Amino acid sequence: MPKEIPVYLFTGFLEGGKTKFIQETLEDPRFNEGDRTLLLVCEEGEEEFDPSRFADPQNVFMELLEDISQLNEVYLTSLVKKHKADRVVLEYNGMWMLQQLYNRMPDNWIIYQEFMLCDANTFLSYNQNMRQLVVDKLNSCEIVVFNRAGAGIDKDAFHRVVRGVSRRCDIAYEHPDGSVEYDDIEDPLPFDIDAPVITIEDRDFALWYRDISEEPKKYDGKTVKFKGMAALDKRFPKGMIAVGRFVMTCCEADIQYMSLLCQVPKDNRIKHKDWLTVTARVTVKNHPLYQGVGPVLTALEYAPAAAPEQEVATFY
Amino acid sequence: MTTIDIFSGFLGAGKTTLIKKLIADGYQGQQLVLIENEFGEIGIDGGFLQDAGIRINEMNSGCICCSLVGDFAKALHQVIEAYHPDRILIEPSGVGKLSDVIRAVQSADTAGAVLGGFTTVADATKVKMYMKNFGEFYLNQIEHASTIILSRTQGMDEKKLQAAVQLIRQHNDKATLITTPWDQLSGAQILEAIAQKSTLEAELAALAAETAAEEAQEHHHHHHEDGACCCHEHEHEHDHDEHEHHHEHGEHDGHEHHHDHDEHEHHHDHDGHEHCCCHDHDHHHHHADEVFTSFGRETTRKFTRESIASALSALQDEARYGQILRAKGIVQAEDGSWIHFDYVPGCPDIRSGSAGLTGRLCVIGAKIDEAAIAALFGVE
Repeated sequence: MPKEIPVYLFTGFLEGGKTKFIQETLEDPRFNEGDRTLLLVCEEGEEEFDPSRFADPQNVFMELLEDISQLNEVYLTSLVKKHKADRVVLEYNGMWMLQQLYNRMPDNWIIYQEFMLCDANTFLSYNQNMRQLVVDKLNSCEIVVFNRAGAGIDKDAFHRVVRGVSRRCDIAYEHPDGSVEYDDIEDPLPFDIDAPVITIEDRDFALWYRDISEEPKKYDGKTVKFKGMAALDKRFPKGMIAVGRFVMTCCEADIQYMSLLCQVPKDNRIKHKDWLTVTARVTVKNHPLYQGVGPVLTALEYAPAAAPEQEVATFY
Repeated sequence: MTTIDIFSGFLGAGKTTLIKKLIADGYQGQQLVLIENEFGEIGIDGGFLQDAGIRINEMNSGCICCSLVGDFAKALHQVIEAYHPDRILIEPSGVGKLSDVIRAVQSADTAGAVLGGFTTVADATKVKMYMKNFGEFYLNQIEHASTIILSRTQGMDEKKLQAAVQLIRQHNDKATLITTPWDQLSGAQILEAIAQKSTLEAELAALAAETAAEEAQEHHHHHHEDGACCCHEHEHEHDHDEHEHHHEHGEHDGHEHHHDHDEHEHHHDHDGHEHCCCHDHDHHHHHADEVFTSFGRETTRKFTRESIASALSALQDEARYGQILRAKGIVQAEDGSWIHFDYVPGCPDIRSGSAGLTGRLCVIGAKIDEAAIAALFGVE
C-alpha cells in the first residue's frame, strides 16, 4: 500500500471564493512547513493563484483538470508521483458530484478536511435550483463559509438550508470588510431526547432518523415512539421487521425508504407496508443486517396507525 | 393561436428581469401565461402580474435531477386548455439544456400552439468563465438559441465585450444578438429581435432591395424644402414583399415620413439633422438584375460622429473600396449615445437616434472590397 496522501478538499460553486481561500491557506506558514503540495484545480474562475505569495512556493505544484475524465485513479496517481507530492489541495468543480471523486480517487488518498465556500449573494438561488449539488457538498463538509455576506443577509435562511442537511458543520459568514462571523443559532431538536418516552411527531421523522443515524449512542437504552411503515423481508429472522418511512432529501429522484430494525413478538400479524405506531427501546449493537453497529429497536408496544398526512418524510 | 416563447439562461443571467420588462413594455395587450421552472432570484411579483392579466404556473421540478418532460407537457396542455392565451412564456431551469426544453415543448404535441423564439440570456461579464467551467448545458443554451441577449453590458470594457461576443459567435453565428444595455431598448425592439424580424440578414436584404429599386428607377422625386435642403425620400413603390422592415429612429419628433405600403413599412426620421444634402442620382445607374455585393457586420465597437463621417467620405474612393451605392448603420458612440447613418454616394447623413440591438453596419455596392471596408470601420 502506497503511503497515505492527505487531501484538503475545497468545494462549492464557481465564484464561491475557493481560489482566494486556498491562496490564503497556502500563504500561511503554519500550513506550509516543507510538505510538497499538489494543488489540483478543477475549475477556472476569475480569481487566479499568485504563487509568488505562497509561503513555500517551490513546494506547490499546480495541475489543472480540464475535464472530469481526467479525474481518474491512474492520472491522479501519476500526478502525485510526478511531483513527489506529500499531500493534495483540491479545488473541486462545483458542478461535479462528490461521489465521482470518491469513486475515482486513488485508495491511498484520504480526505483530511473538507471546506465548502459559497458566495452569499448566489447561494440561496443556487440552492433552490441546484439543490442536489448543494446537498451533496453540505453533507460532508466540516465548515461552510458564506463569502461576500452583506450586513443585511437573512442568516436564518442560510442556517435553515445548512442545518436541513447537516447538523455538524460549522457555518461562517465572511463580510466584505474581511471580518468573519460564526453562526451561533442553536437548533434544539424538535423532540425531547431526555423524556422517558422520546416522542417523534410525523413531521420530524426525517430529522430524527438522521440524528439517530449520525449519533446512535445518544439514544442507546432510551425509549422512542414514532410512526412508520413496516417492511418485511424473508431474509429477516422471525420477529424482525424494519420500520421506517420514505424520505425525500432533495427531490423526487432521491426518495429512499429509511428504516430501523425492530424486534416484534413472533406471533405478530404485521403485514408488509402496514403503518404502525411503535414504542420501542433502542439498543445500539452490532447486527448483521446493518453490517455493523446500529440502533436496533425492541418494540414495547405497537398498534396499527393511519398513514401520516404527508407520507413522504422531508426535512421541511 | 398560442405562441410559445422560451427564455433560457443560467441562474442570475437576468431572465426574470427581461421577462418583466417585456411584460411591462412589449407584450401588452396580449393574454400571457408564464410557466416557470426556476426559482427566480427576483421573484416575479404576483400582484404585478395579476394587474397585467398574467398567470403564473410554477413547476416544482426546479432541480437538475428531475426530468421535466412529463410535467412540462401536462402543464402546457392545462394552460392552453384553461386559458387559450395568446402567448406562453416558459422560463426553464437555468441549469437545463435549451434543446431539452424545445424538445419537451415539441413533443407535448400541443395543437393550437406554435413555437416562437428560443431566447438565451447570458451575463456578458461571465461568458468566458461559464463557458469554460459549465460546458455542456451552458453551450447548449447558446447553441440552440434563436436570439441571444447579453445582460450587464453597461460599463463593460469594449474589448471584453467583444471577446464575449466572439466566444458566443463561435458557438452560434446565426442567432440575433443583443449587446445593447436593456434600458436603452424598448420592449418592442427586443420582441422584434425575438421574432427574428430584426436580423442583420434582413437588414442587408432590405437595403439591397432598396438599392436595387432605386437604381432601377429612372425618375426620382425630390422635395425641396427649406431652400437648399433636400431630404432623401422614398416615394417610389417598393414591391418586394418578402421582408418587413421597421426603422424607428428617435422620438419621431422631427418631420416624419410615413409610407403606407402594406408589407413594406419604413420610416425615416431625421432628428438632429446637422447637414442636409441633395440626393441627386448623377452616379452610375445599375440595372436591377445587376448583382450587388453586400457587406454586413455586427459590432460592439464604439465610434464618434467624426470617425463615421470620415469613413463615409472615404467610401467615395472607388479604387480602394469598390463602387459603394449605399451604406447604412446604427452604431454606439463613445459617449453611449447611438449614431445612425445613411449614405448614398457623396451624400452622407449622420444623426443621433435610438439604440440598436447591437451595432450594425451594412454596405452595398458593386465589386466592393470587403476587407478594405472592414478595415475602414475598424471591424475586421
